[in-house]
Amino acid sequence: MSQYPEPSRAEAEVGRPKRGMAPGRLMRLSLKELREILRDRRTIITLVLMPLFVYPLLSVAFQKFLISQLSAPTDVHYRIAISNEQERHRVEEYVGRGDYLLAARREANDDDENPDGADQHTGAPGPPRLTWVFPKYENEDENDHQTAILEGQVANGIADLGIRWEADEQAGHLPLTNLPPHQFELVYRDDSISSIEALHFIEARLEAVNDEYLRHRLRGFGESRPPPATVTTTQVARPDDAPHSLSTLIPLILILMTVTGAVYPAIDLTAGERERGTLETLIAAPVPRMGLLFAKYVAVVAVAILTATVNLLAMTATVYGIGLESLLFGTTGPHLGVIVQVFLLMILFAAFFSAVLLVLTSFARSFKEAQAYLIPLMMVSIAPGLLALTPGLELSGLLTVVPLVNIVLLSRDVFEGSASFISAASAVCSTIVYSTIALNVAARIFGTDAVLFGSQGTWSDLFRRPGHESARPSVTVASIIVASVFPLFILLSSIPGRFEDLSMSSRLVISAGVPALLFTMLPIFAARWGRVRMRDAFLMKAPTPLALFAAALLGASLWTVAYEITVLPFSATAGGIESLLERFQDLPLLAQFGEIPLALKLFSIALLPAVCEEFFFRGFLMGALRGRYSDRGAILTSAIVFGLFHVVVQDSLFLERLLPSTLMGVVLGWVCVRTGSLFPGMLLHVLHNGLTLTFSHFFDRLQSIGVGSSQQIHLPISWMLAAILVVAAGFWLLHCVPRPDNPTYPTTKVVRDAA
Amino acid sequence: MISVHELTKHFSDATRTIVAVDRLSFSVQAGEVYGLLGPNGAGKTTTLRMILGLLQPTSGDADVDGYRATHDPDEVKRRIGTVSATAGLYQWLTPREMILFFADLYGVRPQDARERLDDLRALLDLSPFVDQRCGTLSTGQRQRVNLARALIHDPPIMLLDEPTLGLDVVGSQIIFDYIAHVRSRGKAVIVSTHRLDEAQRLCDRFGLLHRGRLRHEGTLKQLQDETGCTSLVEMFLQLLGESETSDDERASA
Repeated sequence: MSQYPEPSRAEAEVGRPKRGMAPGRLMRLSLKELREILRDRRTIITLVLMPLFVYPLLSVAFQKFLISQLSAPTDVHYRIAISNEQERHRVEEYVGRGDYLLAARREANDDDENPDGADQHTGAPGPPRLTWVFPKYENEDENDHQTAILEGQVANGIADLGIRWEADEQAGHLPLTNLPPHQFELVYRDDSISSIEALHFIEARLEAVNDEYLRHRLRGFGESRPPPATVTTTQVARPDDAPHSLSTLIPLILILMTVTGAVYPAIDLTAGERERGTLETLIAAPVPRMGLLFAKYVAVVAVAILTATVNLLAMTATVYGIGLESLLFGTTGPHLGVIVQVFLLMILFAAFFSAVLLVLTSFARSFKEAQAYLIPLMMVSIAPGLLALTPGLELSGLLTVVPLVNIVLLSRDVFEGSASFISAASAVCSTIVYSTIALNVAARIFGTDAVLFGSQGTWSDLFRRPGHESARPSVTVASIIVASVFPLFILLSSIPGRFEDLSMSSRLVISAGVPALLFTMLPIFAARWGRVRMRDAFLMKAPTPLALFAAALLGASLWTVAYEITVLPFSATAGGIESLLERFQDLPLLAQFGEIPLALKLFSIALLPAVCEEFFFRGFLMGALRGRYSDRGAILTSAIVFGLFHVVVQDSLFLERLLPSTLMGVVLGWVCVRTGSLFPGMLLHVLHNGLTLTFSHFFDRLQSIGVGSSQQIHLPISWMLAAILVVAAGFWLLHCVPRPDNPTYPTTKVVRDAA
Repeated sequence: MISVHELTKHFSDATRTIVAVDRLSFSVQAGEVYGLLGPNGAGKTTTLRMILGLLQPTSGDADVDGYRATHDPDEVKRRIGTVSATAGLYQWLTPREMILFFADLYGVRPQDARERLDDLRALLDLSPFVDQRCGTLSTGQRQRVNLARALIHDPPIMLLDEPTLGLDVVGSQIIFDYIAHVRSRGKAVIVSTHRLDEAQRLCDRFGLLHRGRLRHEGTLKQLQDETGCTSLVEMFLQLLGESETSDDERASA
């Protein structure tokens, strides 16, 4: 150590141990990140130029569209197809008369702005113009041909409405008119708004003429009392201070703006840092990764908020500039408090979204890779924005903790002044929790070996077939399989409903067979692909007779417990049982279901699912989990996944099934681990399902002897006592079963080919 | 200052395991320049990254000034300055801002950092571009900024990974002067390079690395005696020839 130089002041400094990060230093780090990102021209383009150019342009387009929609009545015109000039004159005569009558009626009706619903479009400034379209005939005599031409013109959109009329000369002239009765035929398209409006327009006028005629006739008979039903209509507008429904658009716009602002800095400060070769030097500095990442996070959030603010200002300015504010905010304009609240929510959203972004971009090794990860995220985050447009969707219950959706709905509610404190608190708190979790995950990923040097842990590794035999499927592969089984399961369980022609029995077999195929084929495929020996890995070994007997005892008795647990939450609340029964009676198939033979039901509901589920959840999933986690962790995790699968029934959720199914999963998992074999659990599962099913099959008969009637939904106490005794005996026997050969699983036999 | 003991690193993916560094042991004293030499893929960079604590060793350990990267990563990092050919700069910051930022990361007081930056400006001739955006600098200028960045916290140990890669004669000369400078300041230096001619001029002692294993170690004189070759290049050719023969033997066996 004699070679050491005199420690300089700097070395004394260097030697000073430091833990954590001082707030001042954290701020300086954040400032550096901000400085870097704000000097970047690309940031400036998205931050300043985009809003400055895009909003005025967008608003002009929007205005054009909106104004043309709102002020449309000024220059509405309908194109009427008619055979010839003569007919046109006659129709004009009628329409003109109708117009006059309607106007007179309107004047007479002081209180009533719109006496005629159909006239709503036309009664406002200036009447619609009618333009006449005459068909070109090749041969005027061909009446059928004429018809075809008139209808063709309407169908092809050349005219909005076709009018054909015929005078019934034989009926003689009508009194008061000096005209024979006319038969008008109106040809219209029901998928064209202008066609329907034209129809209403003409109909209203012809009706007015008829109306007047009838009234005169009645008067002629000395009848002066009003007709039996006189209708007047009153239109009401929304109160002026309530914001227009366009305010539901605002959350969507806020999301888009924040996303625009956050994406580029998030990529640039993480994946970009690696691409430029500064990440390694940065990680080589004695600073906690969380500190580094937090500084980046602050910068990303700041830029996101800045972008959103600039956008918001530009948008507001444009909106006021072109005078759309009353449309968006009502005549009184938004309350200042509302603006502040929405702004705070925007900060919260930016904080959450930036944290999620950083998780993905920290993982990426290049700009390109990061962009590829972000596209799905952007699509996912726009969905909740659209959700807020759904009328009647309330922020309550589960929705208050669904990320993104909760903030979007909350900001909509704040804007409409209908936010409740509890929902708001729940949404805000859960979002803060999610952001913190995301940030921690990002800090763990940021600067790890794989990200830093890219030598390992690429996505393609997930899909590379292992070169050696392994003792059990990897947790990664198991997760991928579980993740793909879930949507497939939901998707495929809807298939039987498609075959309405098939008998109930066939549909039942299909609906049992499809999941069974999923639950067996996917693990077999995964095992083959991963070079896993299934017999060992899935514990497909002969069990001891004692283990089988104990499992049979449990299978024969546990269903009573499961039944009681399912019934319990419903009996606890008044009227709960009724709602349960109602729910089941809602199923239109229930009646037919009772007619299926018991043996078939037992096969497709008890035997087949039980065997396949054991193979999947205990054999495949738990086997994979035991490779990485303790037995206890593996049992619990596989049981929760098992429980979740039972919650999903086609397109509805049966949350009350979660607890009993998960508990059942724990028991089945334990049986499997304890006996070292998959088969006792299968037996237990089959018996359990079978007995539950048989019980429900004979439910009516049991009801007649007073068991399980709707009034007395619980099982008789004697049944329960007996069951508990059998359960206890089963567990005790299992406890006595000799432990499986140690180790239960073959030790990992990894053939490492040394380089 | 640095003592590496049985350092081993395996990289494994689903199909195979690669032994990048195999039971490597050596030590470097203060004021000594140690050349870690070997062809591409010999494990030089991996070794340096493990000493710095950026990579976890599969087994073995590296002590830096009495601290171990696996236990006190920050203490180790604080004592080391690194320069590598692949290290980039922050495009939108100036060299001054970037160097002071790193001073802050290493916990150097702002006043000290400014004083030291003035010294480094003189040493590495940074003045013409110290306030210019890094994105506009030439390769040689970038390398000088990186050299200054590595010294801003005045570390007792320097790790230089292929420092002359991609540099012209002038650039390389700056590196040689730099190494001479830090040696004169009593720092322990490890230089990894595949440029044997350069190493021969620069280093006090050498470690010849091939396929992750240290084949020969010592001063030039010791190596010459051991191998019977005069230059490092000859020694390496001999080494490569030996391993090929042993491969052939293994294959034929």
